[in-house]
Amino acid sequence: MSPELADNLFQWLAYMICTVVSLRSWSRRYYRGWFMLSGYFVCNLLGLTYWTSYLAIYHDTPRIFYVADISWTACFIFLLIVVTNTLTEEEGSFRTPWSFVIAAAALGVTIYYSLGGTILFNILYDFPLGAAGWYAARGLAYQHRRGSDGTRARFFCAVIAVIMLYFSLWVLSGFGSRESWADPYFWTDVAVTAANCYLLYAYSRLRGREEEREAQV
Amino acid sequence: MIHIENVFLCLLAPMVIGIICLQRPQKRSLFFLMAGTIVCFLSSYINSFFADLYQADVRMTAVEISPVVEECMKILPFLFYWLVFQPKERESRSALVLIALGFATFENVCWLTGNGSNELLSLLIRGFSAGTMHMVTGYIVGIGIFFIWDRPWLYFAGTAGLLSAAITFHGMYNMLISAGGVIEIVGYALPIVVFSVLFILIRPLLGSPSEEDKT
Repeated sequence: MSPELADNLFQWLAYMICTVVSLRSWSRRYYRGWFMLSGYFVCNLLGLTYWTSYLAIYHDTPRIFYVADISWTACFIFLLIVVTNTLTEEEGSFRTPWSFVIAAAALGVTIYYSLGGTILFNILYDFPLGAAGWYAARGLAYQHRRGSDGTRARFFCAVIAVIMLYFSLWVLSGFGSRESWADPYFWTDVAVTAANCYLLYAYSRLRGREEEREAQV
Repeated sequence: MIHIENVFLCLLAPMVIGIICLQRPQKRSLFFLMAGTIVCFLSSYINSFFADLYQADVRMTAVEISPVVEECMKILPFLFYWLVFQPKERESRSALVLIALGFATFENVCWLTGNGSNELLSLLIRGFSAGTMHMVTGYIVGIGIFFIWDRPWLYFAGTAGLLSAAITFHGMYNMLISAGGVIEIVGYALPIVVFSVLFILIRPLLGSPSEEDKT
């Protein structure tokens, strides 16, 4: 089995489990946040399935409309919605220089890829991710300053990890041969998958804590 | 050569007569069925336009162009109805289903005229599978509009996200059924499986029918 196929299969399995878990959690109480996180995982899974099936069936990549890319764009929009839905007013208005670092990283990746690729899809990819990172950094800095809630800080940490790993993956995708596991692209891809699983865990802990609080009130 | 516009007019004519004769609630239902048929007809022209523009073959058109065009077109009449008339949730739910039904019906008619009607089994599989697929994609977008979004910016961002999911699902279905062999069977079964899961998931949200619905 080639490293690329093994990597895709591992990702597909992980996203399938995340999709089932998040949809199951949504169907218990129909909490909006769980639906948005389900949307994130469903779109990730759909994009990956379309892309891998296309490669497997036609031994080629799409040339006209990039349907898988549309799905991945949707997935990042859902991530942004999850973050903004979780953020409190105080967290959203808290200023930190780290949000500028993430915005600069998003801008850097957009410019780098726009030089040699389609500008539209790069903006559509990087804007929601950059915005989600901007707000997650504010939320994390606020929680760090207050030192109050570990579950919220963990969730924002997971979001930032996912975003920075995606940026690293896209930069690495321009290098390497994809022929052996020595290629750092594969390991970064595995790390992206692991970070996404951690995001699900962090969100589930966050919701668990919030439900406990609601029950106490 | 198939003159699809003639087939379209022939299908639409009885519906137009029906609209004149029916009472208001049924008239509205028939109107949505017609809207689904009309957008399917227009989609076929837009598909042909893009296929010609990009010099695409049949496979590329089915897998890459038509999912994007058809899903975007399918949501247009519903968005118009939703934004202009601001209907109640119960009314708009059936609107979405009827548009999808009209779309799937005309698509099946187009497929019949192109591929013949000799094999009943394959026609049944095609009919159920394509019909369910259009219902699934309609429901994917509809779930968000009905139950989830309550802020204006969420309507746009969230609905765009769900529309993208519907496009990818449609693209995947078209790709699998055009592959042949076992993959084709998986492709035909996929919408029915997803529809069943989706129906189980959202059934409590749909609620029990009201007394008005029962009568």
